[in-house]
Amino acid sequence: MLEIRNLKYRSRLNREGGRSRIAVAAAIATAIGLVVSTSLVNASAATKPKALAKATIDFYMGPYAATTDGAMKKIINSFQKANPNVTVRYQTAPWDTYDSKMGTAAKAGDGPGLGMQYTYGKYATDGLLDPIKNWVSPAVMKDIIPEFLNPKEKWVIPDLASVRGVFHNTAIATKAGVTSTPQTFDALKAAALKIKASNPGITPVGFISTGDDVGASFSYYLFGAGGEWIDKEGNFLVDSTASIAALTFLKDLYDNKLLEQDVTANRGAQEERFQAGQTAILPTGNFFVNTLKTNVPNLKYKVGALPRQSGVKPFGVGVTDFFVSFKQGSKAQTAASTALMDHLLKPSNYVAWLAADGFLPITKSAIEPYRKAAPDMAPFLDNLTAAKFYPSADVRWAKVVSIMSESVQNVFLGRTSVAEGLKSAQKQIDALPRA
Amino acid sequence: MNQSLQRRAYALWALPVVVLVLVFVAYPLGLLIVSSFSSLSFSGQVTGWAGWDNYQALLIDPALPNVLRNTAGWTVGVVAGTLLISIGVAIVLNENFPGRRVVRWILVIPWATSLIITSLVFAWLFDSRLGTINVIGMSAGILSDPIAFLGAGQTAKLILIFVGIFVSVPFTTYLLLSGLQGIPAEYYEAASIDGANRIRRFRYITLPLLRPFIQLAGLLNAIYVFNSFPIIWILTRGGPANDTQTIITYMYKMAFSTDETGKAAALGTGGFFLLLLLGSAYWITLRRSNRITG
Repeated sequence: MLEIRNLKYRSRLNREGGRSRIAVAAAIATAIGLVVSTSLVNASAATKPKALAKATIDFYMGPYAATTDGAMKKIINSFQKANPNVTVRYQTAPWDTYDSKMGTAAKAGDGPGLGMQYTYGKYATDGLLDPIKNWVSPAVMKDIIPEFLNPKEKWVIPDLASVRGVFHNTAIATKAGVTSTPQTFDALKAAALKIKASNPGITPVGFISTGDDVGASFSYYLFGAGGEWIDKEGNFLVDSTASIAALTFLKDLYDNKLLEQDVTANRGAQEERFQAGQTAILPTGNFFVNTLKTNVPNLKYKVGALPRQSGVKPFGVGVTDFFVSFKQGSKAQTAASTALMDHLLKPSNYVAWLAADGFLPITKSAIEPYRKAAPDMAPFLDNLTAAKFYPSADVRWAKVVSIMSESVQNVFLGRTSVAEGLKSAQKQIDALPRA
Repeated sequence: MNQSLQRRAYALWALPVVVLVLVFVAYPLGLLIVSSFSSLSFSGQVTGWAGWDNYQALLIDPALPNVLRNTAGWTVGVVAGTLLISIGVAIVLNENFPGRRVVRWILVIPWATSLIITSLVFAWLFDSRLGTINVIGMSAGILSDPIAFLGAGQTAKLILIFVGIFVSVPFTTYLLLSGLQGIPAEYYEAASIDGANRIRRFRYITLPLLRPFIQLAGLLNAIYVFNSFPIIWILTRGGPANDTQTIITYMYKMAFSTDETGKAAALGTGGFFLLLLLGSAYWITLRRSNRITG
């Protein structure tokens, strides 16, 4: 309440009598009105976000699916409409050249304000990344599913997830008399033998030994044998007992022509073969559901769990990529990156993107809307937090994958034994610099 | 025009090429050599001077012997095969026959088509499950199981050499054809009168006069094939298990897939000087032998 403290003014008002009282009342009313309206303005200013300062940032996204490009452009357009001061330059590239495109830009000081990355360790080591505390809002941090948050992680948050499952062509399986999805290594071999006997010319089990997916493919059997890629001290364990057991099982399948015989067939090629009914069983990611729906809607298939050795608990294999932000030249750019991150992860935008692309969300707020938008993904969603991940963020991972690909292929082609092949791989990996 | 003005005119004509070579060849080559002696981080940033470390790391790379053998086999296989076939095709196209012009135009197609498109076509032809050869073979009952053409080292190498020859024959044929068309017809007439048959005319007239063109085609093809990337990368990516990995593809793999930029620069530098050495030795030997034989 505004108080009239000026004594002189008060005594003059008293002298003017009634007219002065009206004037005072009007003044008080005006003052109250001013205070109230100012409060209202302040309140609405508090709920309406402050306009971002003028900034231009680069935003990189990988070509996850045919629908990714359209989804990203829609999100960026809506962001720019809401933030006319910010220009977002959208960048993408085929997977083959994606990392080198981002790396080249980063080395020139033009690293993205926000981008998806799958091998960020080297950029963090080189001091090019901005720590997440500078560009990820508290709201987003709170929203990320806790199982995806590593308390020691300074540089990245996950962008999305995929969970691997085993796709079975039910027509081929039925013809072979295989009525349920194999849960163990022995059951998988038995099913493969039946499929081979009744469906000559068809590959019973797909396996990718090329560099693009051998990390995930070998993980299915390594974890299935109870093994791990890396210990707590950061030592890779490629010649462990479990690893030898996993590769021995795969070699046995290969030698009996129960496993994909073409070691140069990458994931894309093998997924095409499954769609063409040329491969009966193929472990791959949940994103394959959308591919099958689009390309071969009449193909009958089932998704089962990854098989394991007896004594090993059921498990899943998950893969996430990450959001990174390279150090920007100004606070305005960092603020724009934060705002774009918030906008992208808003459930309405995030769920629409992921449902179209066939990937899984990593935020709590997106789970239920996603379940409604993509009911086919429910089994994968339920296994999301139980999934194990391979160490793709380790700076050595790209070379580890290359070494493993060569070793596995040499073992399959009979040039070396399982033990010798993995021993040689272990020796090469142990010699790799850590950072 | 006086001599000094003439020389300036020549220099001016040559200037654009010199600038292009300096900017697009010499400068990147200089950077490559410097990078090969630099310490490079995982993301490719220069962090200091490495001396010979990158070269040492390359020399102890277990894949290197295979890479060098594959490069030699690939280059010699494609060049030898191309020369043999192109000589024959050029001789045929030098004859007058109905439809010769059409055949000459058709020959241009593999040369005019992008290497990437040609490689993709062959990749689909030889795909181990859905490729045309396997599909026809399985449907016709000729094959009981599909053949992994590109998944086995030996067949993959042969297929790559075949594709390399396929795309190299047009250029080489036209080069040799221009040489054949420069041989005066009177030489063959005189030889016919003297009783020389086709084989003797080929051996004693065609081959010696075509030799400079064969040598030039051999050298140019060797350089192109040594540096060739798309055919191998699209069909096999250097696999299976490095069986078809050459210097160029391995360099690319190290630079862009496994973050070994320093080693990749060392291999690139080594490859450049190796090619320069071999090319120079070849050219000097040819010139000496041409001078001796007149």
